[in-house]
Amino acid sequence: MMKIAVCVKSVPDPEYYEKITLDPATKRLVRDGIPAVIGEADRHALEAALALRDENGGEITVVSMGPPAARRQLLEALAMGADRAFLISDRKVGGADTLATSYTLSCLLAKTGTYDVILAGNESADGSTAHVPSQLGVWMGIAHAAGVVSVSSDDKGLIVTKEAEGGLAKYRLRTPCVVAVTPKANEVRFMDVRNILAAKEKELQVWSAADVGNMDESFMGLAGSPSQNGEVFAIESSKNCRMLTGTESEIADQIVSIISGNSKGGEEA
Amino acid sequence: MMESKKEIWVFAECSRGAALPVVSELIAKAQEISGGIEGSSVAAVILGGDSAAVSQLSGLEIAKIYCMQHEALKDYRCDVYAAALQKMVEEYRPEYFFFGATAMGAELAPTTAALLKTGLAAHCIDLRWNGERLNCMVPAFGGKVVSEIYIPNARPIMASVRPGILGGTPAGRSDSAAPELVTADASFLGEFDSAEEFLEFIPSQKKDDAVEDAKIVVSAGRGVSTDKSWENVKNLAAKLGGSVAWSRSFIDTGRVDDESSMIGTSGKALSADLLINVGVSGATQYTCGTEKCKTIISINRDPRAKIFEHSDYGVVGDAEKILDAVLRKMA
Ligand SMILES: Cc1cc2nc3c(=O)[nH]c(=O)nc-3n(C[C@H](O)[C@H](O)[C@H](O)COP(=O)(O)OP(=O)(O)OC[C@H]3O[C@@H](n4cnc5c(N)ncnc54)[C@H](O)[C@@H]3O)c2cc1C
Ligand SMILES: Cc1cc2nc3c(=O)[nH]c(=O)nc-3n(C[C@H](O)[C@H](O)[C@H](O)COP(=O)(O)OP(=O)(O)OC[C@H]3O[C@@H](n4cnc5c(N)ncnc54)[C@H](O)[C@@H]3O)c2cc1C
Repeated sequence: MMKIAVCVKSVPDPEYYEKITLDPATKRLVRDGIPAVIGEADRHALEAALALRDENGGEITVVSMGPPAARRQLLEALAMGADRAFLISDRKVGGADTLATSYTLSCLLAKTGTYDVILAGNESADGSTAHVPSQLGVWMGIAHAAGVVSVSSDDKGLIVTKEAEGGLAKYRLRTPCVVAVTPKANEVRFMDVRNILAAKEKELQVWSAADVGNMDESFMGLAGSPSQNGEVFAIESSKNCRMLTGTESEIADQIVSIISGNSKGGEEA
Repeated sequence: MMESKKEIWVFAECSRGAALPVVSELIAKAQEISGGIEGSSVAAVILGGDSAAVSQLSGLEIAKIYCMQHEALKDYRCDVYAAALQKMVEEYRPEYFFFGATAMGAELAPTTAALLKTGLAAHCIDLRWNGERLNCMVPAFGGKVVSEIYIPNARPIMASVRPGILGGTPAGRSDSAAPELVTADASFLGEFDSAEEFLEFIPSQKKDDAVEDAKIVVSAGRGVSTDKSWENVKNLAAKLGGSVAWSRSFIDTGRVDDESSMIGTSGKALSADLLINVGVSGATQYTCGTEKCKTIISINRDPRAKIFEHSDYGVVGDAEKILDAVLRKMA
């Protein structure tokens, strides 16, 4: 019996990031109309949870911090096979940096139960700092590993293989622990129709900070965040592309001449 | 509490006895920032106290090298390393603390920041001192957006920086004196109860001529779909003395299976003089890894491909045929 939690973040669909612009007046990001999804890494975290439950038995709890609409992504996580889900949604926790986000998630986890393993995506698709899992581990005072490419369990703990300089490094973590998985960790299974049908019947709670209780306001939301956002820039390429035209042979001549201009002496005759 | 002495610390991650290239980049940046902040100085921090790395860094224009030596620091374990850094920060109170956003740095920096309850700017592409505050340039949304992150009150101000993006060579010492070597007290590690057991290191099979350091790169996208076009990509790179890289979708074609030479947000940022993109569409998550390349040539059969907006020269055509022609000219 393994008690497993999975952190799932609702993110704007990465397929649309090219369309993000900056409002010249307000200097804020315009991302209207971009649908929300479960980030890719979080799907792999869910899959890792399902695999651990297949092997050991147990229960999967999904936790999230986000706007009320993030409920839909939690419903989807239940349809993927999780057992219950909790969302904390409150102005007080909004505008959080990663320290405040991980604090809030640690409170939500503490409120909902005790866990042997907490899985997370290694990095979200939008903010993509890859901080939250490690910082969650610190708030909870437990072991954690990031950049994980494989997870399994033995009787002494969790075995994780993670990215390292020049290769991979294997560790055994004492449980409970937080494990941040990369998409390399597994292949996400197809959804099972029975899970999809059962999802609506499963427990899904949306809570305010007061519902969670026992939270220290000085670590919450924008006010509790040591890092702040200054100006935001949208990246447009500064390149001016010159198209090379002609026959294949003529194009090749031009390419060779550009290349030789760039690799003075470096290339073979 | 002791007053902050405005030291700018650089975490000197070592591998096989040498500081990683990103450490030099960070020290160069720290020297630049220090030049703008009166009374500030630069220091490097080495855990494990590798003597080769110490002498390597001693030739640089830095004020101090902080070391902590203990057998518990032999193999990297995040909780032990972070506790060691927390101890050093609490004892010596730096104003800034920079890390390379390497596999280790991406885990160790947020852990240390959380222990210290301070802010951390993530995998920055630049650090800019504007005379009043340090703006850490953090990319998000697959590289489409860059945000200035700053840390007004908490200390130290922490940032991790993407390897290969700053460039820059640190200034060497102008005098013959060595930086002051400060050995931090490691005795507490004797009782440290780590929750991590290091089991083994599995070196990657790959040669370690890293794409992020290559001057010339030929990169394959999903449009490199035939055996011949893939051979052409590899031959061209070999002819140019360059490296081969690829997009994420190219991995899906099954011709390569690892991300060590993948370009993009989840992969490597290049700093090449010349990049040749072959059959790459130019998704934001890819092009944010190529912004620093000096000259970019892209070959794509679709005249509307986004990759052309990120290129100096574009060729509309078939990958295999164009490369055939180029290789013939170079034969
Ligand atoms: C442009 C921009 C730049 C930013 N730069 C920084 C910065 O440099 N430093 C900083 O501290 N903050 C920064 N932030 C804020 C940061 O994105 C938020 O704190 C966010 O709530 C959590 O970080 P993340 O999305 O980067 O998560 P990551 O750490 O990348 O997420 C990893 C995993 O943690 C879990 N997780 C993360 N957030 C949640 C959630 N809300 N609910 C459930 N699970 C979750 C998921 O499993 C996720 O896959 C930035 C935000 C933006 C928009
Ligand atoms: C969270 C997240 C992170 C990501 N991180 C990364 C990352 O780090 N790196 C990365 O690369 N991607 C990343 N992606 C994926 C990215 O969005 C794109 O899907 C990917 O870069 C596309 O790769 P591609 O250009 O090779 O393939 P495609 O988009 O399929 O493009 C293939 C191109 O080849 C052209 N072509 C086809 N046949 C030929 C031919 N015979 N001759 C010439 N041209 C031809 C086509 O016109 C097309 O433009 C990420 C996505 C997400 C959601």
